[in-house]
Amino acid sequence: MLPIFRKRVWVALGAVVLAATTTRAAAQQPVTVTGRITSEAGSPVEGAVVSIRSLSIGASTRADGGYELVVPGSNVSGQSVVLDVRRIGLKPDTAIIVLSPGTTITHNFVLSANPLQLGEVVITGAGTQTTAERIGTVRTSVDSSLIIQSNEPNIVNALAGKAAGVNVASQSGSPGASASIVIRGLNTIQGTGQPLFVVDGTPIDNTTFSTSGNTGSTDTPNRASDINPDDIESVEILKSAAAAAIYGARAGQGVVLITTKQGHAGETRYTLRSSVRRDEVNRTIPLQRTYGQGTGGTAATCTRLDCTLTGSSWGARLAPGTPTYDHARDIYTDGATYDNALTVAGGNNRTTFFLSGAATNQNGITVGNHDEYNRYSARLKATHQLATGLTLNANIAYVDARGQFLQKGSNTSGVNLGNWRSPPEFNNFDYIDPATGLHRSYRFPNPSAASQTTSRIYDNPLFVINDQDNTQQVGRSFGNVGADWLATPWLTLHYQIGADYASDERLETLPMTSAGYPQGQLIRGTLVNNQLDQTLTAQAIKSWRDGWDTRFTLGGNLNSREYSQVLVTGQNLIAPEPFNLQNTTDYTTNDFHSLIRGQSVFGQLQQAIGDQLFLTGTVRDDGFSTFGSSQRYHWFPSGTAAWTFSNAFNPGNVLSTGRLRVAFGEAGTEPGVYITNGFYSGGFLGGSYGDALQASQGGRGGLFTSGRRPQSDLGPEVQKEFETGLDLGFWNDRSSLSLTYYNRRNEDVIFDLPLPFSTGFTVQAANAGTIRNAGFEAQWNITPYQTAHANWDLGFTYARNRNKVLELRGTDAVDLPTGGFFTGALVSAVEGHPIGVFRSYDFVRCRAGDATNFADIDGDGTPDDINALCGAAGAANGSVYLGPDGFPIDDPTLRVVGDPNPRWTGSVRTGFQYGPFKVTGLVDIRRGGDIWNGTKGALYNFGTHRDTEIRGETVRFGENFIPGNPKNGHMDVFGPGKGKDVVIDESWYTGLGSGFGPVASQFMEDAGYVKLREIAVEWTFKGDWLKRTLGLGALDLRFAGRNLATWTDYTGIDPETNLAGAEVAAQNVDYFNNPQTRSWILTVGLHK
Amino acid sequence: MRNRMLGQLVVAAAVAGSAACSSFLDAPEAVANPNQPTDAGINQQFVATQTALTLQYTSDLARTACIWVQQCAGTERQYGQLGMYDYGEDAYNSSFAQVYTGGGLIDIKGVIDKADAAGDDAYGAIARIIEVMQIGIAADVWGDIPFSQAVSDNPAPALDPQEDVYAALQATLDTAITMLASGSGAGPGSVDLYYGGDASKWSRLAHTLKARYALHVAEREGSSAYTLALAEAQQGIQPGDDFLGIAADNPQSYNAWYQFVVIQRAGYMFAGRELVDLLQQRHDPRLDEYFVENDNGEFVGADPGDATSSEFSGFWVENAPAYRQPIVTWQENSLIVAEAAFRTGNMALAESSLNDVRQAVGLPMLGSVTLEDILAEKYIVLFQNPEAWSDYKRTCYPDLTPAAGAQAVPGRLLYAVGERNSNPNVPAPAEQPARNWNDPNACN
Repeated sequence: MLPIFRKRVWVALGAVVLAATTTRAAAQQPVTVTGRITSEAGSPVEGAVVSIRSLSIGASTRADGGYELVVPGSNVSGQSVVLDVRRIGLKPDTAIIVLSPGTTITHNFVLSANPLQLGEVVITGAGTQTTAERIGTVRTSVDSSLIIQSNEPNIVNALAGKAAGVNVASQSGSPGASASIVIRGLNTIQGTGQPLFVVDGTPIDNTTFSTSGNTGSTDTPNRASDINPDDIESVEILKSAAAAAIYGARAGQGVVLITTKQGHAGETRYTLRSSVRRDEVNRTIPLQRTYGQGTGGTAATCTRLDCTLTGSSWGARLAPGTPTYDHARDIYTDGATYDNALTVAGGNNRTTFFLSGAATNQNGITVGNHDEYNRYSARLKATHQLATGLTLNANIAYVDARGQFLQKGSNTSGVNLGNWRSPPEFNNFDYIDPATGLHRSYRFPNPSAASQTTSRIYDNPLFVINDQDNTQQVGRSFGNVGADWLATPWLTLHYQIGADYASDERLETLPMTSAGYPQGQLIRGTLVNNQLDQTLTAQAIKSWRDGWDTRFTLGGNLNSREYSQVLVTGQNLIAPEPFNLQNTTDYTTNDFHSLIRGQSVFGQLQQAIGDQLFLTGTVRDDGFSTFGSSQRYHWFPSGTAAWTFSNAFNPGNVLSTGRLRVAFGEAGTEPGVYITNGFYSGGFLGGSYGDALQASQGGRGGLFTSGRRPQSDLGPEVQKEFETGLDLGFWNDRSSLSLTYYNRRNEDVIFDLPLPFSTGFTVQAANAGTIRNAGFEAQWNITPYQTAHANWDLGFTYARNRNKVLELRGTDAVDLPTGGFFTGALVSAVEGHPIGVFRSYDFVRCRAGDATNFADIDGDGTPDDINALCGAAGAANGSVYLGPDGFPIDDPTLRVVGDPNPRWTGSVRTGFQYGPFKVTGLVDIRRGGDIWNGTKGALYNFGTHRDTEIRGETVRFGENFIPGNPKNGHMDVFGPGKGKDVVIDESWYTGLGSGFGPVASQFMEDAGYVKLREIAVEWTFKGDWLKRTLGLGALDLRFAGRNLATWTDYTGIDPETNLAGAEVAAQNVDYFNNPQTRSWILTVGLHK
Repeated sequence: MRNRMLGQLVVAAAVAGSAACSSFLDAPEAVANPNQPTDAGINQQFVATQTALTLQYTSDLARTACIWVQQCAGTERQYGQLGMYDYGEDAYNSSFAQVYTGGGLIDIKGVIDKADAAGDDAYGAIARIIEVMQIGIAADVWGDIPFSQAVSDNPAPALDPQEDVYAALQATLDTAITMLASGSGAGPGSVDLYYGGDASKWSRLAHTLKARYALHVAEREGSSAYTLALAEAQQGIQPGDDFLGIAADNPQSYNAWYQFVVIQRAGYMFAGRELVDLLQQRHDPRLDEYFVENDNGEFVGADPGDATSSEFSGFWVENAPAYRQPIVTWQENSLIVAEAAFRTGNMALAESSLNDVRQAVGLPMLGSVTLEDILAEKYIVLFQNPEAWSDYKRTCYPDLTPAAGAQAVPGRLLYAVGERNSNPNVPAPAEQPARNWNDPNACN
């Protein structure tokens, strides 16, 4: 029955097309319409769009607020038409003018502020659009000026601090590093939690894929960063399921709708924007410079060729005058980013165009030119009115993005692993042995000529920087062509076919002598992504009487996503160079292809009642090839109501506008590709530390049963969300307040249900999880001061989200993808806890009400009841047990020890304008949430962390010593060792106090921060002499700071960091991550 | 007119699209995984089970045993902790999984089913012996394990008592020996990477394994176990027919020890002081067959958890990526004969069997032997072999000093948390026994 229904929808779509007819207008003389647009305060409004929609004629205003429209004679018949003016942030206005042949009409508009954005046309996805007051969900939009002001080359970074409930975290400050965006908390276990990105109606790829596994490898871009931020007109973020339901099974993590700029009829405009940005490291790791390499207080030395040394700095106190080096800082220098963007836009009454070209060249903060990211992009967007009511449009962008990256993270060939573990007296800059010309590291300082394939144990950071070659080169074209046909005055048809094709060439190398593979290794390959998307929609509008109308939209979508990945790992370099597969003796291949198809129909019905109550119902029926064979289709409904109650009565001056919203909707997350299939593998069988054998041996092919048990019943994850809120405008809308509450339940959340190994399988994909996110969001804007020359705006956002894993059917806990990598800190979903919590071991301590609190503290082989001991000792809950020797002991039970989810997030934005001067600022706040400082844990073990300088001191646990944080904090203790003097030394920091020991709980730290994300001074000059001497309409100069200050209790690098970036949902993992940067930017803009 | 034509085109496209829809989602190219085979033949599965067996006997479990019997020492990070008997419940997930999942029992059963269906007794017998070795090592380290209900439709297989598992393994070995003796079936031939399909070698291996597992229950069963071990070992592996792990000089086939100590985790493990000192004291030529000199040209072993890594000797296997690690050898077999003969009063046989081994390694023959002579020889022979841990638990030889702060060398491993989380039959760590059924008493 369902397929028949679907066929009927397609036929119906065709039928309405056939039914449509058009009319022709008689030829006459042209009419010119001119005028000037000003704000309430009297300043000219630039960039407002003035149009006669019924004739598809429009133009945008110049810097002086003036506009001019010419209506061709063929369209003039003495009729009355509606002249319409719109600009983001201002209330739209209309006027009725009479087109008498041959006349010139002058019409000026004064536009008032519109913080609630009422009347603005809003793109709502899948070819639908409406006006802001009709939307029954909270609206989150970010316009182009905010994106440009952020000075971020990556559009995702540019969204940080802009919207309540939208959390952005960048991977690191490296050029090209990914940025993660999570909307209203994490809703998924298996996925990345990243929303769907749609550019001008066509979904685009936003994958992050590191060449050799995201806990090592390099920082890697998220592909949405291919978009030139200068091309963006506005970004709409669909946060709720009700808003996103129109995208069905791809919308469960939210949708980011990006609309690019377009040309307008009138004079051709040119804008050239050039900026220079200086970047520097913003926070570094505290390292000690007092004790040298060695163990047990004895210096480690070796003079013999090819000797190896301990990795630790537990040696002797360095003699006075011994030169030491600042490893936390010495590989960093100033980075530079150059950004140049040219746009040309214009058109006439039938054709418009927007053409842009941009170059962004980034050289990161590490010494040398080996951390670089360069993006070149071009876009042409054009429309042409083929006949009255029929417009063709095309929008095509090409991007060339290429970067050179440094290896990072949990990787003995990563830049900071060897760097920060280096003893203070070892100069990493002498990384080439003068006698042999070979790589030397602090653990392998005297290489012989024969050591060309010997591991340096940890690579010297300068070797990593200078001798590796890790590149990514992307060529990508994406865009769409389509047609809009106003078939009759009440029926609009829209067809669009879009494509996104990207080829990404990768190279990642480990030169000979690398710790990661001393014989030399390279990975070379290509990733190809190809998405095709077709949408056909028909929208009918019937106006019953003033304020009463019905809009009906029917649409269909076909989508296909093809991905191909061929990566070849060549091992054992023959000659040290080149890094070419022919120059290696052994190859392994990673050849993967996938195809996902989707087929959907959707419909939307919207009813306006008396210009104050708006009801919208939407339904999408999604079919995906990734759903199990018995679950091929799924319905996603939504319904919203918006009531502008201030239109029902005159609320007076204080409360000028009031709106109530209620919405319920469902959206989904599709399963990963092929997770329903079982198969045999010819891959590697492995131990716990990377030692592995391929199934095939001795020239005989081997295949083993995949650990994945087949599953045909898999459907999409379903998000059901209720949302309600109020939008209020005060004092003639000079202040606006938007309050939203939501409660969402994600059911049928997919994860690889761990099966007992003894069944012969390890996992089976299952719709077996339930996650709840409930929260509150507020956005408050106010203009405290406003005159013709001056304006002061303030904006605040606040969001709190509470997340809980309500159910994991069949298991208590499941690790997020790659969250299981660090045995010290598993990132997991655990029933009854927020998603993404850290699991590890803790010290034995009092846990009131925890029936599992047993540990063998006396070593007699029998677990003791810790809570009983606590009760006997009268110890406070949470008190740590100290054994007779005065030290704590580890609890063998795996527990939740940290939660990365913030308590609340918020931002404060301000802008003050006086004449041509403008000052803007943005403060971003994140309160609470934990981050795992794995870096510190490791550096404790090696004795290079500054905290380890207390070695040899006598302390008392809980009194003047707290594990993981010796200088501050509070820890209650009890037990026989309470008050006992102990000596803190190497044995503590390489034992229970080590990051390699079991107790990771001591390295959980508060990830909260307050950040000065943006601050800028801007001067815009407009004037006749500028026009006369330089031929320019306007010139602006801007001096800005980015990420200048971070206030945080975190003792590592910037708390905004994540080892695997946007590639995984696991957040707040810091293990030898590359640091963040702060920047100064000077921008010049020329406008003609 | 033009508009009307366009309209007709759109309708045509829409109808064509809808007609194609029924196959759009379900077409083979849309749903089939093009990257992996969906079926495997007996030979392919058999190769993978052989690979998995080598890995299981030369990877995590072998390294742990080596450290805990102090032939080796864990010197850095997780292995420094392991040397102090400190490890997470997740540390042996891959070893536990390897018993049952891909390459383990599921594929071994696949080979057995296919061989039995084809009536190939030789093939079926060899697969059964591999099953015994895979299950046997699991019973050695974890004690009670899922076995009779494992790899079945049961979603949560129960733990079988270790006693029953060992008894079942003895029975399976008897079956295999009988099947091999029947002479029917072509067997795997050259797909057998261990013995090239030689039924008599497999049969001798099966006898040695019967002897080995007889010793594993000797603490419980006393002299009858030694009697059985003696009888079986006398039909066991002969010189030149050692059962050696698979390895070759390419990265896909490198010896797992080599991968660990050279490629993956340089610095994590060095020579153990107990074995280095013993070899030095005996002037045993195996000192530089097992170890390499440290930076000062000396052989120095580390105590458990000692992190002063630059001082210690590394492993000879660092220079031998293609070294085929011994898993079951004629030397072990001969020393089983020696010990079992000694314990059952046949001193002449004990002496000759021990001296066979001493002669082979270049040591002088002994006139009269003590039990300690035999056990010391076996401790040395079983270098890097997980069997050394089983021997230590049974014989308490050598007299090891446990790592600082511990009362005894661990008697078993915690169950893998991956199994415990999803199988309610597996108890929490605090409720797990400290020792297995076959090893009731700690040595210290």
